[in-house]
Amino acid sequence: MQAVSAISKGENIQLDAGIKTILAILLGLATALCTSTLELVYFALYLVIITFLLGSDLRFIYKNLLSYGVIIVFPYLCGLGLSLLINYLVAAPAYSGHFTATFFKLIKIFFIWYIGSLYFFTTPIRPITEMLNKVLSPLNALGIPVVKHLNMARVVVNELNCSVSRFKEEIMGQARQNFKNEQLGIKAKLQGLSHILAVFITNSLQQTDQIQEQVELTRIGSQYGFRFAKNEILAILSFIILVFLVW
Amino acid sequence: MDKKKKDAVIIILICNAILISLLELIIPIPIPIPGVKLGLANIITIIAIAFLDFPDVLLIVFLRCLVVAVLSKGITVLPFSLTGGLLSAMVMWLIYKKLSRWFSIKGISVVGAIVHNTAQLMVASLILREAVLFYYVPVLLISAIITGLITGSISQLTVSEIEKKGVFAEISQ
Repeated sequence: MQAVSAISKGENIQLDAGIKTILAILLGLATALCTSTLELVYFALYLVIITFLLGSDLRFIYKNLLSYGVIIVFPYLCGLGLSLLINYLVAAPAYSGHFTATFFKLIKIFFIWYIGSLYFFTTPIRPITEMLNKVLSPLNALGIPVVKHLNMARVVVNELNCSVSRFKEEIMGQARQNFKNEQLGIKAKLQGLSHILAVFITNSLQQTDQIQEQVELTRIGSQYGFRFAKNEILAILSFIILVFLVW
Repeated sequence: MDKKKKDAVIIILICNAILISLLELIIPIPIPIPGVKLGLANIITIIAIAFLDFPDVLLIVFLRCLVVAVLSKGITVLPFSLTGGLLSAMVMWLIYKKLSRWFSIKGISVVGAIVHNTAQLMVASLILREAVLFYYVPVLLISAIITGLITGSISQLTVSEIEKKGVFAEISQ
């Protein structure tokens, strides 16, 4: 889980969740429409500026680059390497990809990835769920219990906040001891871990009554409405300036 | 089990899945490939398959992916985790319910890991529109077999221990 978010540090510029969502979607779409390197440079600068304005830092950019590299770039490079190797070994048809175009695509996808990441890193869960509740509530009429599921997700987040540190201390401590025991073979270690997990799951399932109470108490408000203040107007203006600068 | 109690059980299992994933920090993986994870959250999916209904299993996977995406890596990872998670849960459920004579929980877990990894690669390939990524499939298949066997072994032991304790039967009463 994210160690310290911009929200918990309390350093971010507060923006209305709805306006922020719309701006994030528009920014993502605009990035997808970029056709030149210069346009991408403008977007990169804009993203760096809003990263700092929203209370995030270089470490956040680095973390995103790392996860993007692991999930998208590494498999691509490995696939490319293996295809070239196979081509070299068995004289199969050569890979006919356009490296420059793919590189350009990789950068655009990273920007879209980063926008989504930044949005959730700098927006508290509560306004997001309230906004989603409002936007998606018509689906309830179609029999899709969006409100109920959002409520459940909120309870999960609340519960995790309460139980992470206890889990780390108790269960992870026991598991660590189990894996450090050099007298045990791998099978015995897995057995030990299974026992720890079975006890943990069994104990946690004894708390259904408390969780039911939590569900009753955690009701998502449906009174969400757009809030236009100075920050929102400045954010929209900055986006418009970017669009005019690029196109 | 009444609906409210079932919702509470689902919430607890989602929390457990996310918490159990933290154990991956201390369990050594025998495959030194970036991005390869044990997928310990799969233990909870298997427990849900064994003790709950199919829609509940899908709901657990869906909400877990959503909460993890929001809390940690950003929502952009969601297409990957959701496709992998839901597809592997569907396949594992089908095998558990229809082909359990031929598949142990270990086997089901291996198949689940293979489906999960392949589905994620498919999403990456669709996003990049590059078929070259599929050359990476053999690497992912080998890692899926190893990680699937490890999580499958833990799942098998955990499911039988929970079965012995009769926790779900107790809750249903």
